[in-house]
Amino acid sequence: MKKMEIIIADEGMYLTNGKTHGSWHKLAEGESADNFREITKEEYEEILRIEENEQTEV
Amino acid sequence: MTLEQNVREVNSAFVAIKDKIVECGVEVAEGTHARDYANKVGEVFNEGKKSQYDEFWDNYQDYGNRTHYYNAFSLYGWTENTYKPKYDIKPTSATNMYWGAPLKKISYGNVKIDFSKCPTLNQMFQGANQIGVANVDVDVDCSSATEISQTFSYNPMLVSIKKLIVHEALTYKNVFSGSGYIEELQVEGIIGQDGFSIASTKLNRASIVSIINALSSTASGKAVGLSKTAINTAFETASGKKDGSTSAEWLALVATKPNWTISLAP
Repeated sequence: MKKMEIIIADEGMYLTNGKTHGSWHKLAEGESADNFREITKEEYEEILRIEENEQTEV
Repeated sequence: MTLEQNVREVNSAFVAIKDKIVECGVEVAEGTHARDYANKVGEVFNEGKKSQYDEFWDNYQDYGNRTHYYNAFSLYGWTENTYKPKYDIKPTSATNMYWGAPLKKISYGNVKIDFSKCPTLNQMFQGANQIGVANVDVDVDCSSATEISQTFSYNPMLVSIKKLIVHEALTYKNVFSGSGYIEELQVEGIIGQDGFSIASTKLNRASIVSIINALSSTASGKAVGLSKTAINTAFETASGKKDGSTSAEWLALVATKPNWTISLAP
């Protein structure tokens, strides 16, 4: 039997492990829910804004 | 002037007109009556237009030898009225190539467009001031690239990408950021690295399946991002239920990639 772990953030919140962010995650085998922390929508949007500003030099 | 002299004048004029028509590249068959020269005027005009077309594109594409297409078709001047390439397009440099171009599509006639030799495809179809290509209706082959960055980003006009050809070592950086209306995206090859994230809420079921199926079966510790709204619609169990993320079909699909973290954001 194989298990699949899905973690879901509370309403209006997000979960991030520093690398991937969202409100719903199907975890890879070996990934732990303990690596995820809950963040607010504002924190999530700030993370996206920072990532988008890290552009490759043209 | 005598009648004979007049006739000679007129014949001489007809010969001069015929010679000029032929000089402009329009054939005048032997025996063509002079009254039919008037019909040739339109052909002369068209030949002039073609020669202007040839002159521009022969130079702009260096008679088909051009490979450096950096910014070549970017911004507002490139529309269906001006984007009419003559030669096949096989760039080795394509950064910003169609940046902010208000084109409905990029294919044109029989011109082949081949990106497989580009080491970078950054910002290639990125939008500018909310304007950009609507349909990338040719294959975007990333075979020669090691990373693609913002290739389809900030383009609210973009709805369709015919085929994105990827390979396992290819890395992704904000490839689709800010392009929230993409409905179709066919992925061919293997997604093997982090960073493949598409937040479009409009992404259709076939596209989502294509992305999940492309995920490497051997990669470890990687994550991919999709829109929960798109999943809820694409996999909904009944019309309007928007419950796709809890559907058996969706769960069965993501279960095929146990080595991937699949993240959904609204």
